[in-house]
Order: sequence, then C-alpha cells, then structure tokens
Amino acid sequence: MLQRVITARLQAVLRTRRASSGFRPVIGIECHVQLNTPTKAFCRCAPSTTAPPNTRVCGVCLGEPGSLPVASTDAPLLGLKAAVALDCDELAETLEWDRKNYQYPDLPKGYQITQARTPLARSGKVQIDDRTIRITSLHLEEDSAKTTDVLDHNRAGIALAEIVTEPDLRSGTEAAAFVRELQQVVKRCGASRARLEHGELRVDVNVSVTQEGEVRERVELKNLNSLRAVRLACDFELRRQALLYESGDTVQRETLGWNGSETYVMRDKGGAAEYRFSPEPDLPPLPLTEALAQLDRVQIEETTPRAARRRCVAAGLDSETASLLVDRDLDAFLLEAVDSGADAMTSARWLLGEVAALSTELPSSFTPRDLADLVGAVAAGTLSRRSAKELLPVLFQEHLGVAAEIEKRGLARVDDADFMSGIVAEIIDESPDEVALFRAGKTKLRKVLMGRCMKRARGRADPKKLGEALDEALL
Amino acid sequence: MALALAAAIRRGERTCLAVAEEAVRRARTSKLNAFARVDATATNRKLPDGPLRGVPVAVKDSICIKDETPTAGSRAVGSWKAREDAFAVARLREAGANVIGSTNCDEFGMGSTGETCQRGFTRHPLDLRRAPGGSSSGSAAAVASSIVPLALGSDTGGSIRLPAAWCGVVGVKPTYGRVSRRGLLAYCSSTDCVGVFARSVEDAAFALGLIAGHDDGDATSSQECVPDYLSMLSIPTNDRVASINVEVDDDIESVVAGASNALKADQCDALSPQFLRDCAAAYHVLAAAEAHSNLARYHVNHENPPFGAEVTRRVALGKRLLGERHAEGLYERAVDVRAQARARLDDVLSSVDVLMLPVAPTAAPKLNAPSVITKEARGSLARDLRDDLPRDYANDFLTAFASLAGLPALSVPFGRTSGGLPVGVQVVGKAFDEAAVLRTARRLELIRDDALSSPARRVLLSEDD
Ligand SMILES: [Zn+2]
Repeated sequence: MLQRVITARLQAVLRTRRASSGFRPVIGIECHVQLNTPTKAFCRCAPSTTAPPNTRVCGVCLGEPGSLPVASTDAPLLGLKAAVALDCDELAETLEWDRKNYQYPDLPKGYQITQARTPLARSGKVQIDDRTIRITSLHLEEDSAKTTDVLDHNRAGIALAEIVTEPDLRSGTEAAAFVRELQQVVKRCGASRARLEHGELRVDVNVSVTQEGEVRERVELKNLNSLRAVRLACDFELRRQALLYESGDTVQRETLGWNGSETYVMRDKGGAAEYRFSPEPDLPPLPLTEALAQLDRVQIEETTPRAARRRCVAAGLDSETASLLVDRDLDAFLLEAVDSGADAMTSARWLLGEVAALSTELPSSFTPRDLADLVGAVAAGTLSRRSAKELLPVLFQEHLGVAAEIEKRGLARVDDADFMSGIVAEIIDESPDEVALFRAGKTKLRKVLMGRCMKRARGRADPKKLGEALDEALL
Repeated sequence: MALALAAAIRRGERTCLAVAEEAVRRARTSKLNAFARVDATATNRKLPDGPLRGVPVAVKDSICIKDETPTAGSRAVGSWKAREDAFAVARLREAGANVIGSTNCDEFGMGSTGETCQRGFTRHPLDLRRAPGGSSSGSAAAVASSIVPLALGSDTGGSIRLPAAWCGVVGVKPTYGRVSRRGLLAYCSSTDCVGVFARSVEDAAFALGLIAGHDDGDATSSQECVPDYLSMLSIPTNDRVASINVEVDDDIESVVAGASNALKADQCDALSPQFLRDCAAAYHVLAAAEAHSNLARYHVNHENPPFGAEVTRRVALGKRLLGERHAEGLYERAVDVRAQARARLDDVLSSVDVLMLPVAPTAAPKLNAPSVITKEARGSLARDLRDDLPRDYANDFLTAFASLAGLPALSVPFGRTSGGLPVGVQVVGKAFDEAAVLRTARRLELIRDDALSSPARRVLLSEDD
C-alpha cells in the first residue's frame, strides 16, 4: 500500500529528474524458454501457443486423479543443446526432478515439476559486445496454465528451460541486449522458437542498486514481454530505487509488473520461503549418459550467434553490420548470396536497406542467388540502382530470375549513343517553350529538361552520358 | 475361488450371468458396507474370452474405473469421472474378469482400520463390531465374505496386508514398480503399490501375474519380466526362511511361531523392534510429505477441500515438515531411515530368501479402539515424532519397513486367536522375487490345510470353503 503511494508520488519526479549517479545498477535475469518439443514435458499432448483454449490437454497435464507424468526425452536433449550453446561448463550426468509445492490457480496439481536440487546445467556465459554475462544455471520444468479470460491449460505442462544469470547486467539497454542474444542462442540451436510475443520466451528481471558496494534489497519485475519493456522497465526501476534511497526511503522486496510506463506491485505468489520442495517420486532419476554422448558440441557451437557473426566478418562484413544481420536472422541468406558471388558489404546494405524496407520477412521467391544477381548487375553497370529498386518487388513474387526479368522489362542500362540522342530529341521536340527560354539564357531550365530525359529513359541510361547528349543537342 | 470358478464357467457348470447376478446381489445386500458402488451393468456385460472369464472382482475405490468417480473414501474427488480404467483394472478385464463394483477404503488410504472412510466404515465379516483393517477395508471384507473371489487393493504402508490378516484372506503387496500405479489415486507415490486379495495363494499368484508388468504410462514401473507365478508355486525349492522376533499379542505370537517351526525358519536378529518402529515413523513422515503434495490438486478448486480429520492432519503435517518445521530435520532423518532399511534388508536378504513375521501386533480390534501407547527409545525417530503419529500407528509397525524398502510382502491366513479371529503370517522377499514369497505362503497354506484335516488340530479351524 505504502509502496503504491510512494510510486504515485515519485511519478512527477521521475518525469523531470534523473537519479544521481552514485548508485550502481545490479540486474539479474531469469528467462523461461518454452522448448520446441513435439510433446509436452510429461504427457503426449502437442504444445501450441495458438490453439483454442483447453484443446491441448489430457488427464496428466490437467493433474487429474490417478494420472502420472512420464518424462519425454526431448526436453532434456534440447535443454542440453541450449546449455552447450550457452557455454555451460557443467552438465548434469543424471536428470533429477523435484516438486515445487505451492498453491496457485494456474497450477493444476498444486505443485510444479521442476529441478530444484540439480539443474541440468551450470556455469555458462553470454557475451554482449565486450561484456561477459555469467549464466548461473539452466534447469528444466513444466509450464503452468495461462490465465486469460479463461484458465487455459494448453500451456500447462509445456517443457520449459529456466535460465538464470548472475547479477552482471548494468542497465536496461544491456538487459535488453542480453535477452536478444539469449533469444538468438536458444532459437538458433533449435531449443526454442523463443518468440516473445507468443510467450515462448518470458523474462523476469531482478533489479537492485548498490552504493559503495553495499548490497540492497531487490525487486522482481515479472512478465516483461518485449525487449523494449525489458529496457524501459529496468531503467524505470533503477531510477525509482535510486530516488527512494535518495529521499531516505527503502526498497521493499516485492514482485512488480510493468504497464508500459511504470512498474506496479503485483499480487504475489508468495515469497521463496513459501515454496516447499520435495523429490518427484513419480519420475526416477534418468542417467543422461546417452544424451550427453549424442551431443555434437562442435555442431551446436556453429549454430550460435557468435559463430554466425564470425562467419559474416570472415566473409567481409564489419562487425557492426554482422551483428545487425545476425539479430535479424539475415546472416545465412547473406552468406549464401556471397557464395553466389556477391560482394558482402554491398549485399548487406541492400538486405538491411531496400530489402528490409520492402518487407520484414523474406519471401521464399527471393533467393540469395537473386540478391547476388541484383547486386552483381548494379556493380557491372548493367542495372542502375533505380532500376534495381524497381525490380525488387518483382523478385518478391514468382519471377524468371534477375537477368530474364531485366530483359523482359527492358530495364538494362543502355550505353548506346543513338538511344541517348533519340530520347533527347524527343524531349526537345516536346518542350519547345522550355528550349526557347533556355536558349534565351534561362539556364536553370536545363535541370527540368534533364529530368524529363531521365524519366523517359526509365533509369536505363547513364545520367552522365545522357546529360552530355542533352548539352550537345541544346548547343 | 477364482480359478475354480473360471474353470466351472468354462465347463458350462456355471454361467457368467448367474455368477454376476449372485455377486451383485450379495454386494448390495451385504451388511458390511464393503462396497462404495455396485455396477448393475455387470450382469449384462460381454466379457472377453480370457482365463478369468466371468469371475467377479471388486476394486478398491482409489483405483480408477472408466466413467466412474473413484472416491478414495473421500468427498474431495467430487463428481470427477475417470477417463480410463486403471492399468490393473484393464488387465483384469482383458482376462475376462467382471468388475462388479468399487470397495470402500480409508480416505486416500490414510488409515489402518477402515474408519477414516467418509462413506462410513466397513465392518469385519466375522464380527460386525470389529474393524476389518485398512486402508483396503472393503476389498478385504468383500473377499473374506465370499462376495467376490478376487479384489484389487493398494498397499502404501500395509494397506493390503493388514486387512488381509485381520479378515483371514491372502493379500499381496508386490515389489514397488511391479504393478503400474497408473489410475491409482496417489497417496505416497514412492511406496504406493497396487496388489490383490484372494482366498487362496494360487488365486493371488495368478491374479498378480495378470496385473504385473511394465507400463509405459508409469515411469516407476519395472521392465523386469514377469514369471509365471502360478506354475512357480509348485516348484520344489530350498527357500531359506528366517523369522523376525517382534513384540505382539500372545495369540499372534504362537500362530507365527507355529508357522516358523513348520518351515524350520532361522532367527533373524538384524531388524530390531525399535528399528521396525522407526521405519513406521519414517514411513509416516515421507507419506505425510508426499500426501501433502499429491492431495494438493484437490485444493485447486476448493480453498479447503472436504477432507476428513485424519487426511487433514496428515496433509498439514506434511506441509509443515517440508515447510516451517523443515529445520527440525525430520524429513531428512526419514529419508535416512529409508536408506538404512534398504541397506539392511538387502544385507539380510542376501543370506535368506524370505523373512517371516506377524502382520500386526493384534488381531482385528473393536471399532473405535483406543490408541496403543508404545515406549520408544530415546533419540529414535519414532520417539521424536511421537506427537505427530496417527492414533492407530501401532498397526503399521510390522508392515511399513517392507513398504519403505519397496519389497514384495504378503499376508497369508495361518490360524486364529483364542477368540476365533483370523491371524495372518507376513512373508517378505527380495525385490521382484514375488515367486519365493508366494511359494512360502503356499507351503504355509498346505501345512494349515493339512492340519485342518487332522482332528487333533481343530484349533486352526478356518471357515475356508
Ligand atoms: Zn497432456
């Protein structure tokens, strides 16, 4: 209650004032990642984030009397893949399950099957530019039901990996960058589809501030469902806490939500002390020997975003462009275009510029070969940039290939002197007034006439040569 | 009895219809309150052609029957109906058995007399003022009163063996993992076992063979292959038997001593009475902790589920032992006692094949009997837990250790008290060696029946038909 009042009082201050910089931000992240398994963790139901509510359920994931969980082997396999991709040093040799006993309406059995004693993996790391963010642990557990207007049990029992970091992050921007990198890591190794907007990746953040090394109370920010929310909520919370301390107040340990502009106190599930853990008697420990032997660490490393960036740089990109492409999942496309003979930086600029402007998703009709051919034609001078831009939407549909489409549409640049003088003659013919005025000394009108020529040439003519032809005709 | 009845049906001497009608009629008119539900459709059911075709069976009401509510002796299950038959029920049906109804039990298995059942207690078939034993009270009473020759029960700390002993029938708790728990309403998942009641060891062996085996739907169910228990009964062996000395009523002691002498059993001193009681205490700690977790699902729709007093007490105890009382270390001590029990029994059973001991310190008590006060050694788990143990905790003294260790155990009737109440002998064996346990029980059964035919030993008279 008090917190509510303080928050309200702080609103005005927060809008106008930045907190003093004596406080050092301390941010740790807990991510829940839905694993991309064909079944839920402990039953045969097929997971879906889009199916109508309560259509992907059975006695097991509804926690009906007499039902028993049977652990799928897919979840630990994907969890181990993610752990290797996160550079984890310690992988569990035995899969052990526990129950986290607590009452909540979204928990049909009254407990959650999780790993409390031995997580699947420990001691990983993620690199954000030159900063190393340590991963404390990765453990498996089952998802809870989703509370919308109805209680939807489609989500109940979906296999999750919970990934916990050390409190190594220092700003909202860094936290968001971490989440984006984590998303890339788990997506690229095939562990999860990791779509934030579908709840396949969910982010909780622990935020506190320290001053002169003194550890302060932290709050938990729950359900941040976009990178923007992660960044803004962290920064808001850091400022709120700093201001509270500055004004002599203290921070309460509590769970907060984010409404888009401020953090607010959520109804709590109860503090950690309220959870009672016990070994899961229905699931005997499972040796992971076989799964560990199956892991192809080299192959998994190759799937990581850091490996993708390395490949892009090796192909000739600067590291910033490489990061941009990797973040947008365009690196494989680009590398294929480079393999087809395209220049890396030019192709990347096209991909991040013109191509991205046209559509957020690459249609299947537009192939790396098309990009290579397009960039190649521009570089060879057979296609002007303007014609190339004109051709792009064509390539986004069923098409005949870059060369054939240039031919069919007559987009090729023409160097022929007759072609130039022909256009110039037409324009001079159609613009007697302008020509007369120009000749009378209004030299500004050359620009108008040149524009008309360019338009008539539809980008096929080299502007310099066309200009020369015009000047010659106007003499 | 089950196999004889099935043979008579096969020979055409009895019809499935007549047998089913009689069982349904007797289940309905019985004064024992053994049944929670009798299925009228049992008389016009098409039964598959199997070795038990037409044999009526009853099922403890904590075991799911498709489209029925397994009450588990509780109101908390509400009107929920099972989606499918429990594994063991399905196996019996495939063999042609006719499931005629479900039997009353202590609420969620939490009781040793049948009295915690919220549908009213079951009465003892030989003396209506006495308790039949629990928690599988209705199943034991239904078999003992010959309403059905076979019934399913579940045994978590003694819930099959105790009522079998008190009612005078054979009751088998298999090795943990031998029979799938799928469809059994969970109480203490790490010791819950589905098992059988029968009027002969042969019937019990045969029925166990039907319901045993691996189930993909229960991760704790074993891959170990299932031998033909029935044919293994008659294999001559040199099974080494050892008996455990415990403090029990004189009547019980003399019956078990008789059995021990008849089998020329050695003495086993490795398991002291205090250790067995500590096992029972450990069992109550673990069971309370797991019950608190397993029964939490009934809280999801009710803030306070309509549990009876004993279930409420045990669930609350489990919650405290894992929560605010965790620091007392009782849960860890119980885990430790379990590990010790496993290690000691492993050791003992490396030099003998089966252990023999009484099932309970007394024969069937009067309903609502006062609690038994025991003296526990200083520093023992049983003593430190004294205030948290159930009133009828003494009934679990001799059965809980086998549950903790996951070993196969059974009760076979072997005599009576001076007051005429049945006394059971408990036989405990190595993991997955049900064959030796059943074979020993069969030997006792033959010795008993031999004695019955000799006029000098009328004292062993049982009312077996
Ligand atoms: Zn399911």
